[in-house]
Amino acid sequence: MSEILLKVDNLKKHFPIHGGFFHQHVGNVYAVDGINFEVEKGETIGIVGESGCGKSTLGKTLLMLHKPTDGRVLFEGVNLGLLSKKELRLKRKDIQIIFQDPYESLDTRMTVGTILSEPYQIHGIGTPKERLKWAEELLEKVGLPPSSIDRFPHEFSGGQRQRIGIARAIALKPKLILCDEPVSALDVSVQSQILNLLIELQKELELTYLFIAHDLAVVKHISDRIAVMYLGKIVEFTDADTLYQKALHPYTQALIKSIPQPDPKLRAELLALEGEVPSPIFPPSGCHFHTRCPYATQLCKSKVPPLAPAPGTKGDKHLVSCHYAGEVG
Amino acid sequence: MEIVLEVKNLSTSFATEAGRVQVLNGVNFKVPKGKTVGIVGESGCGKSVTSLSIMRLLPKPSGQVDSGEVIFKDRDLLKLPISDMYQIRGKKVSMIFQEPLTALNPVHKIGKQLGEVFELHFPKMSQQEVWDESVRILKEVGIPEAERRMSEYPHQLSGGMRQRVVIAIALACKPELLFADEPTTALDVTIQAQILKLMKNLQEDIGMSIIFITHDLGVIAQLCDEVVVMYAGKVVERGPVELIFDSPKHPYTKGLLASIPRLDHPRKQTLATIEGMVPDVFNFPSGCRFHTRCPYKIEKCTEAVPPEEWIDGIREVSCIRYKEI
Repeated sequence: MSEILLKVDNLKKHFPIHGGFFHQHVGNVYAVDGINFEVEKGETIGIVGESGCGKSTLGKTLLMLHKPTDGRVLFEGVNLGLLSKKELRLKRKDIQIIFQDPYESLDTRMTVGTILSEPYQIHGIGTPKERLKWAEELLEKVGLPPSSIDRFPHEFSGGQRQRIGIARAIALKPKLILCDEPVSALDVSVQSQILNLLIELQKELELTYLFIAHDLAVVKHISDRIAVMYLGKIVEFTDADTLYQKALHPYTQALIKSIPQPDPKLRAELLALEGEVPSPIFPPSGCHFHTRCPYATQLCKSKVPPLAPAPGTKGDKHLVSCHYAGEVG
Repeated sequence: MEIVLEVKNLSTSFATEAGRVQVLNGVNFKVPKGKTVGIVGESGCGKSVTSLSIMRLLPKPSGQVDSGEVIFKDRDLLKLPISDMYQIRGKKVSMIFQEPLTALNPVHKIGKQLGEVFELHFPKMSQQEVWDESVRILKEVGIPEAERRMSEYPHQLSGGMRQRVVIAIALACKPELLFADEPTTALDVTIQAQILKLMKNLQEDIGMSIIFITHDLGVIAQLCDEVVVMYAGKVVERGPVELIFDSPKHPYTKGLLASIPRLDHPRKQTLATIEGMVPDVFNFPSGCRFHTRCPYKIEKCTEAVPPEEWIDGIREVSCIRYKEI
């Protein structure tokens, strides 16, 4: 059994809604609603789902950028929720983040050299001269010319900016990097460059990734295990190949079948799931997916299916939350 | 095969503070009746400007068509008086856009925006007829409780529903040609599947041709009969979708197809990449515009613009080394 780097225990993040007279508390957005999983050192966990499923909120809550409503996040056995601000800042050396939009995540008034020296400066590592030297090394590592340190973010294209974002994330030699839709703003030819870079860096620096994206093909390409989210909950969690070949949850099955395959020979009727994702303010009773599920029964409307080992599996090899796992699809 | 639209040597430029930039440079393609033609390319390749040029919707006064012809049913759309163009737009040729929220007017009810199309193109219809026809078409695009939706505002609908309304408006007059500019890019994949299915069904009913502009090669493969691949303001390759996907002849098409991660491929394999990035519109390379990124580049590529060559009379490619690819 390899080492557990991150353990997420019944994590919840509910955003209160205020309204009406005297700005009363009138309800909650159940963005993240009871998430459990473990991340082993060196692996990549993909988190996939449609807009509003809570995948980004989950990422931010894991890093304590949102205060969890309930539950625990254990990083190397330390409960991040109990740390003081100062302790948390020290911990952040080990946990970094790469954002979706490379245009918004870099300060336009700083040179690339300053952007890349900043992590060292914040943590009081090295002299200004050393920091700039490290910045040059980082640039080389992500495939940009070291001379870029004197240039500003606007002089770079989207893909190059994302490389700068990655360089900043690896500056402090973190253990875990949260990648929040890191390639969805990029063109396909650039997307493949960035995916290759992330995979290379992972091998070289022994990184662990949490990779959040809506594009299942991208997530499957980079991940070892994948969690599929729907309305704040994980509905299926297993290794990437099993998920693609033997998805058991009707939602995962629909997600796979609705992706247009880039091959005219594999032309198939796209499976169009009826309806839309319900509001996370009033999630449906029972199984949250029952309103769109072609197999829903009375049981699904009344009872929440637990995330449990799939029929014929043990432990957390293949978890699925469906009353009829293995019988449908 | 009957051709609905033929674009010949279309060139468009924009005035900027730094001088005029040539955004389209001699674009050629044809759209057969009842078929779907996909225009694919990365950001800045000119795919959206192509549709705006054809529809004469370029931002004025900066955008301007410099040369070329757009033959729609024996008439050159670029030479028509603008009053004739008003008759064609929305009735014979329609458009749907990427962002359904900006395509709809936020301060008007759905019913009014939909009814406007009929009032404009069929002024003899009575108010009751306009209302009935609007409700009918909303039902046809799969909007539940169509009567109630008629009196709602765009913000009260979800993204997928808004796109259905936009489609309803575009198809209200049963056009012969529809431009769909990234119509599903802003939508989730399960909703995208619904919209694509809807467009396909409506196409069969009406018998219209579709020009589908997208960066998503998956959508092209699943939906289109023919594909036009654009790079830096030029068409680099075009032809039947099966042929182009099966044996791309232009290095750019080949690179693009190889660089997409696929569900049915092994994981973590190094993906093929196209080195470098899309050239800046102010600074297009000489000769073949792809030469700065092309693994097959030879000296000659930097000197002369490659001619468009026909292969087997059904597909076309602009690359002097296409036989080796």
